[in-house]
Amino acid sequence: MKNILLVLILLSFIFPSAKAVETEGLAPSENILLAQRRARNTKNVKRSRVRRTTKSPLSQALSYAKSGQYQIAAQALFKLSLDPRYKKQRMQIKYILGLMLYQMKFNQLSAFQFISVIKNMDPKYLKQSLEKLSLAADALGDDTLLNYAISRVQVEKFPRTMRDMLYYRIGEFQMRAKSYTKANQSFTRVRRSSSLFEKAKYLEALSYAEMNNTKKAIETFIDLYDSQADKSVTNPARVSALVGAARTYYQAKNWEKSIELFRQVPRDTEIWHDTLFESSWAMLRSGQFRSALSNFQTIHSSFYDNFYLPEALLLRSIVYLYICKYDEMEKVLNIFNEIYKPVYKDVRKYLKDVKLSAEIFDDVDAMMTEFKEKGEEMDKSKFRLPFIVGRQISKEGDFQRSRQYIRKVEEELRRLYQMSSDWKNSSLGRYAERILKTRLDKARKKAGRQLRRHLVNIRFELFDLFEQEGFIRYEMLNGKKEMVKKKVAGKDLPKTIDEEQERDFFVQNGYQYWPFEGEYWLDELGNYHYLGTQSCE
Amino acid sequence: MMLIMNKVLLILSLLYIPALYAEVIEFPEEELAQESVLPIFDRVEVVKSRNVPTSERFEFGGGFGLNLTEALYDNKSINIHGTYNFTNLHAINFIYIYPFEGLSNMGNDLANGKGLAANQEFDPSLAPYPESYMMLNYQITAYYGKISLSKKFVMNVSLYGLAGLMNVTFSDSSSVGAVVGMGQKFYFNRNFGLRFDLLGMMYQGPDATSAPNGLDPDLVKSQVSSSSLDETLFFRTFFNFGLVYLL
Repeated sequence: MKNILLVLILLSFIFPSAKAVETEGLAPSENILLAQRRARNTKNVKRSRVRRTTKSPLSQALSYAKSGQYQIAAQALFKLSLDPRYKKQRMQIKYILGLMLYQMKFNQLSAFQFISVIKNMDPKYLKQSLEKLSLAADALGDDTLLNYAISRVQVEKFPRTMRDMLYYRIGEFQMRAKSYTKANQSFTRVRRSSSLFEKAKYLEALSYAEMNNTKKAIETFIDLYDSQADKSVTNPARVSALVGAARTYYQAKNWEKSIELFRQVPRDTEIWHDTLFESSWAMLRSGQFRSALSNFQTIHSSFYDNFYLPEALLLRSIVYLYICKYDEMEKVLNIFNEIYKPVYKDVRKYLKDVKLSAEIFDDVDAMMTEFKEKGEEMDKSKFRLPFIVGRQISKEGDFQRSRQYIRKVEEELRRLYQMSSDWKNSSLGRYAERILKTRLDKARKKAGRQLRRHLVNIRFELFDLFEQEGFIRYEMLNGKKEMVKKKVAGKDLPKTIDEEQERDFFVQNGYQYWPFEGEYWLDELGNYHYLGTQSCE
Repeated sequence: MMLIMNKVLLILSLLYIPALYAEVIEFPEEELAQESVLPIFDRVEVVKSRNVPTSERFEFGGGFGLNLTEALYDNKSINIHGTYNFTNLHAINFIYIYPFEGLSNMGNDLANGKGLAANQEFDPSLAPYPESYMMLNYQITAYYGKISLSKKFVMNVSLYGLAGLMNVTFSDSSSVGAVVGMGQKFYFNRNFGLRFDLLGMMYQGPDATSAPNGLDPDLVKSQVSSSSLDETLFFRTFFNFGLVYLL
């Protein structure tokens, strides 16, 4: 018995805080305190022994950590993590080092420590490491890390306060994998009180739409919209719900309802521009040609010169085809060719010339940074990629996420360079720099690959649109031919709007009327009304 | 009475004929503007494809003006001006004003002794008077907009402010002063427009009322020199209007 007791005492010295640290909702100092308490509680004898001896480097590091001296603690723990004498405590050290780095807002570096613990499958620190890794990955917005963490985590063992985030991320992950039913199960578990509720609800509705369950999708969008009723009319969740419902009505071929909801989207929101084009499709489908052309007056105004909208031009030409405005149609098709043929050539050449993915990222990043600084007055000619294409692909969700992640890692690197020279030049500082630079490099390549994929899509899309342009042009020529035939046969054709410049019109009291004279005013966008009539017999 | 009423109704119905013949285009109520908010773009630009772009363009013009605060001399003038617009907002502007020679009605009255003590006359034309004003200004366009004067006639307008230095030439001397002003242009098209401006000037010059002999033509036989008069600070307000041509 005595022998067993002796062995236990010795063991407690070797593993000063060997018991798993309960971390639910606790600050790092509390975590460390707990770890120490566990270690102390093993045997009272140990305490008396510790008092008699000098503090071990690990105890010293832990006391730094406990007192909030994270920088010193991190340096000490990093050294200990490499020390072969602490091989057995390595996972504990790495976990606490991760906590220190997380507190210092080095999310990427802390994530590396937690991954190291998870890979080692040390049961004592696995759960906490997964939890902390999820938080660090969430802060970074790094999908790869998140996927890694959530694929191993057990939700019921995750702190209750963080479960919403986990359900949301799991749902996202399942949605990307096209497991929509499973995704919806995860999204519905995000509580209404959570800050992620709106996003989860939106994705839930989107999943229904993906499953072609338009009824349920609309119900979910309306539920989201109603839940935001007390918020401002431009509240992103509220507007997204409205747009989502309008899009789903379009999917369900309920054009009128779709148009009605699209019209409710406030003008002073980013998404309003998209809805203008999308509602034009609904208008065309429902035969509201005049309304569609009114929208095109806005979409094809100079305010949208630097927007990538090839389909809008073709759609406009189709509307003209329906109302037999062949001259206008030809003008629009010519504009389409004038703008997008060079764009297509440039994209093709760019894809051929630029082989390195990181180079694509650098080009688009530089373009967007300059655009942010100088606006549309920037020199667009110095970029190899057409500006409208660069701008379009930079708006893609996956690239936005990658760019955001890159910004966060860059921020971390900047924070590292702002540390004291002692810290920077320490082994941990050099390690941190190496890790962050490698991550940046890899992230740039990944973002570049995403951009390349979007560029390839644009190339295919344009190719397809050129083909469609050919068909539309054929229809136009056919229509013109029929018109000439009727003219030869002596039939009276309706006058075109151009011939009827001197039309009289009457503006009802209470309404203001401003004829369009070639100038586009910001406050007039969305208020244009096409006054022409159809020219078909 | 009924006959008169019928005639009135007939006239009214004839007056309404153009409106009855007008094409009626009905817009669904929900399609008409219901919001006064502006769409969001990365950069806020109020107008695109301006009908009257002024950036990197020269502008010339001329017209008439009135000196609103001149009592002794003829307050009418002619002016010419030239402007170079660096951008649609910023410009440099030169104005030359040539006042008409002669005295104002009040000046003539004084020269004829009206309102003065018996046998006393005061002829301001014997004192040096402003012969020309030249000014170089920085001009900023504070507002560019349009105005609808009828359902088919829209004019672009711009409101501007200017400030600069000026030179006033008197008969035998000259002085430097400062000028501030504001004005409005109404454009008929891309090149022609009307210009109205109001200029406030401040300059030093010889004070005609400080002549030792009171500018009595019986006592003062020739033009009085600037050096024999006291200097005073003049505040003058000019209202100018004329045509502008944008090159």
